[in-house]
Amino acid sequence: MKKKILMWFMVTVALVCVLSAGFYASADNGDVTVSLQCSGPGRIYQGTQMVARTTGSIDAAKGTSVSLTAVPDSDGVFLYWVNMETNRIFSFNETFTFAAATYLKVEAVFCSDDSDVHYVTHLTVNDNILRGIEVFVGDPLLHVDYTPARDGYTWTGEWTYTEQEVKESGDDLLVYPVFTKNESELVVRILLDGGVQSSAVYEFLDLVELSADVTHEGQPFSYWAVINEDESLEIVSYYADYLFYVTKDVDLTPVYGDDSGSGIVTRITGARPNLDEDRVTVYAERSVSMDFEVLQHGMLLTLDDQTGSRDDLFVIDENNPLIEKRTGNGTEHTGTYGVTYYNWKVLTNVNGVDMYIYPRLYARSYVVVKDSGGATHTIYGTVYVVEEQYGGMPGDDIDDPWG
Amino acid sequence: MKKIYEKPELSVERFEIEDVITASGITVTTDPATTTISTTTTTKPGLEGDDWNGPTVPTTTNTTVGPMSPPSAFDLIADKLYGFFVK
Repeated sequence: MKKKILMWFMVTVALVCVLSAGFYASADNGDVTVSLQCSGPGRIYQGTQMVARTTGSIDAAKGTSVSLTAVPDSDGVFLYWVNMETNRIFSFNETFTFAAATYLKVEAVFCSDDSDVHYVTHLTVNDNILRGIEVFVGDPLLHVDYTPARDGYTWTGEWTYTEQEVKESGDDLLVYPVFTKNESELVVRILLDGGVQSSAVYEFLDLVELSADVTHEGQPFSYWAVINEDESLEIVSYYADYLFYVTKDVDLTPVYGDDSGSGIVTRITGARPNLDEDRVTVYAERSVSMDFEVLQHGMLLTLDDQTGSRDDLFVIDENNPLIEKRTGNGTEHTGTYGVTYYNWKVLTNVNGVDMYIYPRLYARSYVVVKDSGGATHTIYGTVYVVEEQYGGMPGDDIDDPWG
Repeated sequence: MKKIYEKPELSVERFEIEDVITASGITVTTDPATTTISTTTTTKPGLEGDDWNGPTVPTTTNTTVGPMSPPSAFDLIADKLYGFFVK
């Protein structure tokens, strides 16, 4: 049966299947485990106690501050701390201080202090390590065999150091890809009293600032809410001054005279697929009242339908390999955290036909906070489902094996 | 949504601190991340990203596409529309 192949159909990414409401977990003070590992000539200390030479672990009470110090051996140099779950750099400081909030897997990376060698690390713009390698100064080193990607940007084909510069440098180097920002127009509208009060156009990831009146028609300001397509409202911030990084068109409204809500917002705001580059970026936004201290924020992801469909399973769980935990480094009360999933499509066989599919991707944001009484709470957002929907075009000459 | 929005005259000026629109007491200001701005005391929000790499080489699996629960007729049709054929 002769037919031509398909083309990209109109792609709509559709999303947002709200499977569960966000919930405010009860106080969950307890210990968390921090797994430790050393790479290269060095050790990890907690205070005066060495806690890892090669590997080790410590337990810390949730909400407490943990301070680790990387101490190089006499023939070593400290480079950085790495989150082993994500291969992302935590810190470049020898002393790494963080709040115990969830389990962590931390690595201190050292290299030789031999002046004949240097350590070259290729990273993404998010500080995820692509390759770290110790090479002799003067030896050629090719860039990583990897095409960097960044949502909303285009890679120039360059790195912050050329291969020649890497070869000639005697320094330990961090090599990043260079991107240029794509043009885009995103619209932010404000609706109030049933009408559009204003609209403005922004570029992707512009920082938008909205300021609402303290009172409106005699009612005190309560929160900002996004207006969903079904006209439902979703709280996005309890701050009258709402600052956010824009990632999509959005309608917002200030709400007055509503005392409901917890003062804490964590939610997935949307997903931006790039099928040409076989990836999708999911964005989370948080807005936490100053009444709380933010200990940690992050995002859980899974490709497993059963896990993603169950509130009780889709939570922070070190023992569940189906759940990927991505942990943010910052502890600001507000902010945006984007996680990009690469190599999204998989080859599968359906009814004897090989085809690529995009597995459903489930995402859920979380934030761990400490209240004024010292109790810690883990708050999860609603589960967000990312899936691709393809629509055929009538009249296309398509190779349809089911046809 | 885009059908009814009114595009403000922003052009180059959008990269400067300015009130774009004031309506009903609501002020919209732009603040490209490359400039310092805030006309309020609100702390600048954090912005960071992370990666999660799926398998670098697509692996062939013999599975049925779709949800784990018994699919509806609609699901079966929709699933057939996912993806594109490689042969």
